[in-house]
Amino acid sequence: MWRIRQNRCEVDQQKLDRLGEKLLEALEVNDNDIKTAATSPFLYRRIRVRIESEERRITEDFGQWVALLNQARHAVPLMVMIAAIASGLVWYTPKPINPSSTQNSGIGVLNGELTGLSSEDIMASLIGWDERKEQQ
Amino acid sequence: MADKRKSDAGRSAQVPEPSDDELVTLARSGNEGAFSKLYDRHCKFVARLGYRFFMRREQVEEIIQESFIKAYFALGDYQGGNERSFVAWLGRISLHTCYDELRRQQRRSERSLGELTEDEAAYLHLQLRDSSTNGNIEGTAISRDLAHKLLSRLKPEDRLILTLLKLEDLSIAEIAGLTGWTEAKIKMRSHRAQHGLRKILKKFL
Repeated sequence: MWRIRQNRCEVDQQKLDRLGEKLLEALEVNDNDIKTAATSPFLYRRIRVRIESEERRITEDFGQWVALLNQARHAVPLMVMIAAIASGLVWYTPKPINPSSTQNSGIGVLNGELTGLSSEDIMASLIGWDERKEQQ
Repeated sequence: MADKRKSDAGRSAQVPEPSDDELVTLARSGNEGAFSKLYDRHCKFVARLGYRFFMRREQVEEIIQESFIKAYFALGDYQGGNERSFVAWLGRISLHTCYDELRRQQRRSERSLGELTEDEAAYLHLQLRDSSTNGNIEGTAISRDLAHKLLSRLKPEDRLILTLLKLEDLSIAEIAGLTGWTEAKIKMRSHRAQHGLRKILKKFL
């Protein structure tokens, strides 16, 4: 029983394969259809136009790259000069005053950030300093 | 006068046609006429290949157009050599163009996935029942529509391999050369394609 079913299945499969092949064969077109598509009017003209536009695009792209490189060529010395000036300024700018050396003067109080004081503390101490001065 | 014309015609008949390789060399150096000649020679070949995968004339024209544009810009890569190498090279480009288009269609779901009409289903039944009928499926509009409708349900890779194996009668090694895929992949794909086609046919019978 199982063998009969298997045989029938194989026959079905063969039939399906044959039908599949027939379907594929149906894709075969006659020479007239091929000729009609191949000799379609303006097809070659369309190809030429596309090729020319593509070539123009490639040339334009290349032109843009060249222009960009040209700009970069001019920009490089300028950027080098700016970098040199910037590094020179960094080099010659006076170093920040050490907060410990101005601890006793009024300026030391202004560097509240460095000593961990908030702006309110600084204001309070300034007001207190003024009051003390007036009292004196 | 007539004699002179005759001798001119005789001389022009003796001038051998330039080979594809010679035309490629000329086209590379910017000779538009040489490329035009290559187009005239091989346009039908590309059209025939296009019709294997696409039903509408506009689609086939699109394939011809794309293939020749790709070929033009790839002329520098063409190495030439034997007699049929330009055709093989162009065939490879056209095949890849068809494959790309099939994949694009699949992505856009443009395939005609509609159900079969009663006529088509009846036709399919008849063909299955009467397997002895040979040849009458060919050429008729209904069978071509049906074939495209059913085969468009296959994956593009499967369809490509089935077409090359069954219609073009190419060997696994030749398909590997054309597609750039490994032979193992092609064997596996062809097996899957056969199975897929059977499944599709069973579904509609």
